[in-house]
Amino acid sequence: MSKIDELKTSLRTTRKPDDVIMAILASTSKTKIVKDPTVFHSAIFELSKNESWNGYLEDFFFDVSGISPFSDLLDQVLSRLETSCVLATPNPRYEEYDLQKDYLSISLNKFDASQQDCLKQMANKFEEILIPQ
Amino acid sequence: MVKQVNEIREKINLYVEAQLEEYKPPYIKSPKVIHDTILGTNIFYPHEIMVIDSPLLQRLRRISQVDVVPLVFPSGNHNRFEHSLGVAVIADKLVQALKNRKSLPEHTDSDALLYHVRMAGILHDCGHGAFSHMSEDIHGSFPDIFEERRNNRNLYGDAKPHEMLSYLIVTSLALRNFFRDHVEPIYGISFDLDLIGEMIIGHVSNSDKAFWVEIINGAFDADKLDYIQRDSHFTGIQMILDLDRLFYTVDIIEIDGKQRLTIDFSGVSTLEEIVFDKMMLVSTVYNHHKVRSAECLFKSIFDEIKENDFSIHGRFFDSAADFLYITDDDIYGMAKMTDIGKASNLARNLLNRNLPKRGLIISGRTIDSNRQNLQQIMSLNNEQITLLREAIAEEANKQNPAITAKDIWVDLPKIPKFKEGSLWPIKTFANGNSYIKLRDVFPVDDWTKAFSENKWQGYVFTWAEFTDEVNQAAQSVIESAFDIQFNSYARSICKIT
Repeated sequence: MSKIDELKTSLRTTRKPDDVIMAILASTSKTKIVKDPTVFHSAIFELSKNESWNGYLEDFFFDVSGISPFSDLLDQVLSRLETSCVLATPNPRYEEYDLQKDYLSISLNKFDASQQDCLKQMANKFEEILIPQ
Repeated sequence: MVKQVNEIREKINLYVEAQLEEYKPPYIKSPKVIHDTILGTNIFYPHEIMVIDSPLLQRLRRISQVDVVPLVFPSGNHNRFEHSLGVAVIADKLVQALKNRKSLPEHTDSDALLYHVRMAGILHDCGHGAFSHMSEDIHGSFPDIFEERRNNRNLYGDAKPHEMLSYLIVTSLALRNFFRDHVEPIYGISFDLDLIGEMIIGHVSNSDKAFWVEIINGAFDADKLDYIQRDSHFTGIQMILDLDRLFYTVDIIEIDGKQRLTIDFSGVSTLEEIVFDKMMLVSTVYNHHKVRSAECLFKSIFDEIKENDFSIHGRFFDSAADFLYITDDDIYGMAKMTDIGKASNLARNLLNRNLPKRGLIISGRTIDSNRQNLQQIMSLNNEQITLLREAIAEEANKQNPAITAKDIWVDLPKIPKFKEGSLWPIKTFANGNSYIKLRDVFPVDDWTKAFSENKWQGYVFTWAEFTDEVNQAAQSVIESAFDIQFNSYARSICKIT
C-alpha cells in the first residue's frame, strides 16, 4: 500500500477527540447553538462526569480553578472547527454557531450503532444544558 | 490529597537530589538587591537567595525564555531565570496592591502570603527543559506525563507539562528535606510546599487561598504580566500594558465560598490589553514561520536520538524527567558531538541558523474548495503527520530521488487560548460580591480568537534546494488525501524561485 493510501485509511478509521465532539454536535436536533465558551465547556464537563459516557471524553482534562470549567483540548477542537468553518460564526457578531451538519455527521461513521445511541443521549443532555428548560 | 505513586515522581526526586547533592547553601545575612531591565531595582530576601543560588534555579539562566525566537528577533535573548525573578517581583506588587486597597480578607497572614507567592514565582518555571516550550512539545505526550495526569486528574486539570514537572520538583521529598534542613531552621520561615506546588499548577484546594493561587496562575497572574512585558521589550515588538492601572483596581471577591482575585470594572481596559498583547505576541513572535521551522529541527534532533537509542549525558529521553538534565547549551553542544549521527547535523543547522524553508502554506486563505476539510488537516495526530511526510516524500521522489521524509516537515501550530474572557470575575460593585465576566462587557476572547484563526497557517517545510519539488508533491498529496484545492497563494507566499 502506498503511503498516501495508508494515510487515507488512517484518516477514515482513526477516532480522535474531535470526532467525539463533532458526533455529539451532529446528533443534536439544532442547527444553531449559542457560542459561549463558558457554556460549551461547562456542558462537556458535565457530560464527562457521567460514568457511562466518560470513556468518550477521557482525553479531555478540565481546569476547574476558574469560575467555570475549561479544557485546553476542547478549546483546540473548537478552534479547529471554527477555523475550517464547520462551526461558522456570522460576522461580526459571535453569538451563535451555525452547525454544518453534513460535515459533522461524517464523524458518526467512526462509531458503531450502540456507540451512536450513546452519543445521541449525550447530545440530548448537551442540548438540555445549553438550553435550560 | 491521595496521589497514586508514579515512576515519574521517583525520577524527579532523584533529579532534585542530584541537583542539590553538591550544593552547599551559604548563610545569607541580609537581603540582596537585584537589578532588572524591565522591573528596576528589587530586593530578594536571604532565604530566597539560598533557593535562587541552587542549581535548580541557576540552570534557568541557560534556558531561553522564548526558545529559538532569537534566531528571528536577535535581541530576544532573555532567559527563564530573569523571568522567574520577575514573576516573584510582580507577585509581590500584586500583594502590596491588595494590602494598599485593604482588600485582603480578614485573618489573612500577609507575611505568609507574601513569602509564598514570591517563592512560587521563583520556582514556577523550574520544570522547564531546554528551549522552554519546545521540550514540552516533545515530552508532553510521553506516557509518564500522561499517566501522572490521568492518575491525578483533579489535581492537575489541564496544567501544562512543564507546570506538572515544576509541581513535582517543588513537592519532591528531596526539596522538602532541603527546606526542612536549610531554609526553615536558619531563616525561621515555614513554607507549605504543597500550596506552592498548587499555585504553580493552578489548583485550588483551600477556598480561603484561591487568590494566592490566582496571583501565580490566573487571568492576570504575575507570570503573564511579566512575560508580556519582557518578551515584547526584548524582541522589540512594542506592546501596551498599564500595570499601574491594574494595581489600582485589583481586589478580592467571594464566589461560591472561594476568595478569588478580581479587578474593579474600571480596570477592564488593562485586562483587554493583556488579551490583545497575548494575541499579537503569538502571531508576530511565537508563531513566526522561521521560529516554527527551527522548532521542527529541534523535534527532529530528538526523533533521531529516539530512533537510534542515542544517549546525551547518559539520558535516553524516554521520560519527561530526562529533559530536566539538559539546557539550551547542551542542544548546541550536540553540534560538536561525533557519536549521535544525524542528530549532530541537525543541531549544527540550528546553531548556524540554517533552517528549512516554506514549501507550502496551509490555511483558510490558501484553500479554495471544501474549506471544512481543513479541520482534518489541523487535527492530524503524530502518526498521521509522519505518514503525510512519507507520502509527500514518495511523491517528490518521482522528480528527485534524493528527497526523504526526513527532509520534509509538516507543522500545524496550536491556536492560542483566551481563557481570560470567560473564566475570571470582574467586580461590579464596590462593596458587593456581584461579578461579571470580561466577555459580558465585550467579547474580547471571540475577537482575538477570530483574529488568531484567520491568521492561522500550517506549513510544509523543506531544505532550500528541495522547495520546488516538495511544493508540487505536497500540494498533490494533500489535495488528494483531503479532497481540497489549493489556490496560488499556497505557493507564492513561500517565495519559491
